[in-house]
Amino acid sequence: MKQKELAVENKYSRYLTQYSEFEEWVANNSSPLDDSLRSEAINEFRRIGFPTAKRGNEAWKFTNVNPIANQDFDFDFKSQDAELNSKMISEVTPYYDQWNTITLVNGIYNRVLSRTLDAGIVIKALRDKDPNCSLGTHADVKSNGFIAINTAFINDGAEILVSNNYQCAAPINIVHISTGNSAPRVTYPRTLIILESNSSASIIESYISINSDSQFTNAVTEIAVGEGAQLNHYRYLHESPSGFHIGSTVVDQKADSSFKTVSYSKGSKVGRNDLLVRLNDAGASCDIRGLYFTEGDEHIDNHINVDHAAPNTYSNQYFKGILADTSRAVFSGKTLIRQIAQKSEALQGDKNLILSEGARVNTKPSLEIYADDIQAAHGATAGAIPDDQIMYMLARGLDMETATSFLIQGFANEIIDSITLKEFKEYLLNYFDISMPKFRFQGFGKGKVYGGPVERV
Amino acid sequence: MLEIKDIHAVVAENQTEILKGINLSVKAGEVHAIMGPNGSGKSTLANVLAGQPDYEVSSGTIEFKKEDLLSLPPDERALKGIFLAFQYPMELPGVRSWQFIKAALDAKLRYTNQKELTAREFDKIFKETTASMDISEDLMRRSVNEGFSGGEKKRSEMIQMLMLSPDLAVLDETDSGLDIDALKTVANGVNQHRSKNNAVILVTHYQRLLNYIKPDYVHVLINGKIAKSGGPELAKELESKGYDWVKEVASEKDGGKGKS
Ligand SMILES: Nc1ncnc2c1ncn2[C@@H]1O[C@H](COP(=O)(O)OP(=O)(O)O)[C@@H](O)[C@H]1O
Ligand SMILES: [Mg+2]
Repeated sequence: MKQKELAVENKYSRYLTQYSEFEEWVANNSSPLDDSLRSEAINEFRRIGFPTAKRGNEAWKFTNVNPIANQDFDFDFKSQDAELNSKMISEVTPYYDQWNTITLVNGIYNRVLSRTLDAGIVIKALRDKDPNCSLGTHADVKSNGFIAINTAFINDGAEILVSNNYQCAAPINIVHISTGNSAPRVTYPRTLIILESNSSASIIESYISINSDSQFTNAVTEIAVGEGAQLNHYRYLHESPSGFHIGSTVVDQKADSSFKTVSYSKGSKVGRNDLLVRLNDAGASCDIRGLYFTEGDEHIDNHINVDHAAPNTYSNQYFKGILADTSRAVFSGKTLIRQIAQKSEALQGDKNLILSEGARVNTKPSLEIYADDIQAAHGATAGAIPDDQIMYMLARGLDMETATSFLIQGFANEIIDSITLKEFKEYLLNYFDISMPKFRFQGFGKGKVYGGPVERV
Repeated sequence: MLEIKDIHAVVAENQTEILKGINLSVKAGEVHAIMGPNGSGKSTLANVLAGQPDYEVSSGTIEFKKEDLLSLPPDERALKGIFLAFQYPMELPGVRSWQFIKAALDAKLRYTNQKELTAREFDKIFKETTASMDISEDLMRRSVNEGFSGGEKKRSEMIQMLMLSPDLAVLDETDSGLDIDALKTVANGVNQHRSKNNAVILVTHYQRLLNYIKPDYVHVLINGKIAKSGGPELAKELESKGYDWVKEVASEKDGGKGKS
């Protein structure tokens, strides 16, 4: 065994022990899960481990995953469903009777809390193995240790298939809940979404925790958008602020397909929203928007990659962040335009509203371009609430708290407005209405910008 | 209603003195025009009344409705009845005009122990007011002043004034950048608002607006001081003779010091 592997082996020995226990349990319970996919994944994890290295680790430069790597999490693979009901869930995430709903509790598909309303979609638990299932073909276990370990521990999950030409009437709600446990718990939510040719759907994935404070959620979602298909996708992350969340989403798009996504990410102790979109065929387009909000000592990292691998492809990344207290956010947007991707267009933007001097953002939109006949633009900003906007509102009789929250909400509205799913849009507007008025503009700075130092990298 | 006594004001950042001893008394029912060349301190005076923290009052007093104004923060001044129509109204990205003006009116009604309007009641008055200022409802559904033309911003300020019906309205060059039709619309708004119970201070660079709103008094501000006061005829005189004429008079009074 090579030196490095040995080191990984020692450091992560508990994961390897957990894996043996899990394997044994799977064998004894005649689970139909794919052994070869999992064993390949654990071997890969053994080789690479978590991305904890400091040097040459560009993708994880501003997000330190050591607190995750160094902690013992309990993988409760035998877990039976926790006592939950729809009312408890609807209090913490968008949850409506008139939606197709898939509820996964600690990574396990919950039949009672799930229902399919649309005829043209198939919703399956990954435990009910579908022989044609393309699980693992989009998210590469070699790309990072988190995807590898999620794949190694696939225990259950959700598979959603929207058939050819079917236009989903009701949204599909995929709710991942992590519940409290005696020891900090790790869950490995796994989701596969397939839209066949010319179909369309609106899908929301949410990640929440109930009665839990230091869980680790390591989620992977694979999405295939077929030729001419249209997916409106939403991601809602709002777990406990002292927990850890690493979410990886990989999207493969066929010709003339459209993938639109809007995410809302509330900070975690360490939070990461990793998204890779591959525009594989001509005419594919993606529109990726996100809103993030951190307070206390929370951290969120939006790591967005778009790969233009065909001509006439379009991508737009637009993120906005609100940072309070001593929290920290990272935006790294990378768009690759390959030589073959002529006549493509790529846009990137990230704007940050810094509410206090101690908050800090690292923002780095970047374009890597190998084609000559393309259009591309990118930009990033970070700044405090402008004094003169506050003054204008005070001069109309609004108090400082109201003025501040109006401006924060106004800042967020630009992203929220791009949500076409009415209930989700209203949910977020309402959430901001309730949670923003506690912030207060920190004082007039005689023309100075108030806020923390902005690091440009 | 307003008693300004020997106000000196400096730019907070560098302590440069801008207002050099202003005296002004405004009673309910009056309209005062403040005229003067660019840079004479007109906006500074308007901003000092509103409580803009970019300026510090280094000496002098201001009483509004017999109460000390200078110790009040800007929002309380507004609630007590002072309204400043800004020379350069701010854009508030993502903040809808409807929501903003409703919140401002609600705050004022609460402050004066009146009942807040329902959305429907507000909407009715808001629509009428918007129409009277020749602003489309569509524009008012957008963010406050965002993407508005210069003239639209000025009329949006007037809508806010009419909705809030302040006791003292200070209009800082609300006439500049307007074509003749828009100027008449704005003037109509002011005339409609005027009553024996409220007062208006019109800050303007040009005499033009005063053809449509007849002031009771005209003051000429030069180099941080009121150099001359008079009736409406003073505006006419300024139009034909220009500001240089007053400057000369002012510098004679100053014993030649203020001559530029
Ligand atoms: N915030 C500020 N910082 C520095 N100088 C200022 C500031 N505000 C006004 N001044 C200066 O004060 C003078 C008067 O300005 P202002 O009151 O805007 O004049 P007016 O409105 O009559 O054109 C000008 O010389 C201007 O440059
Ligand atoms: Mg001015």
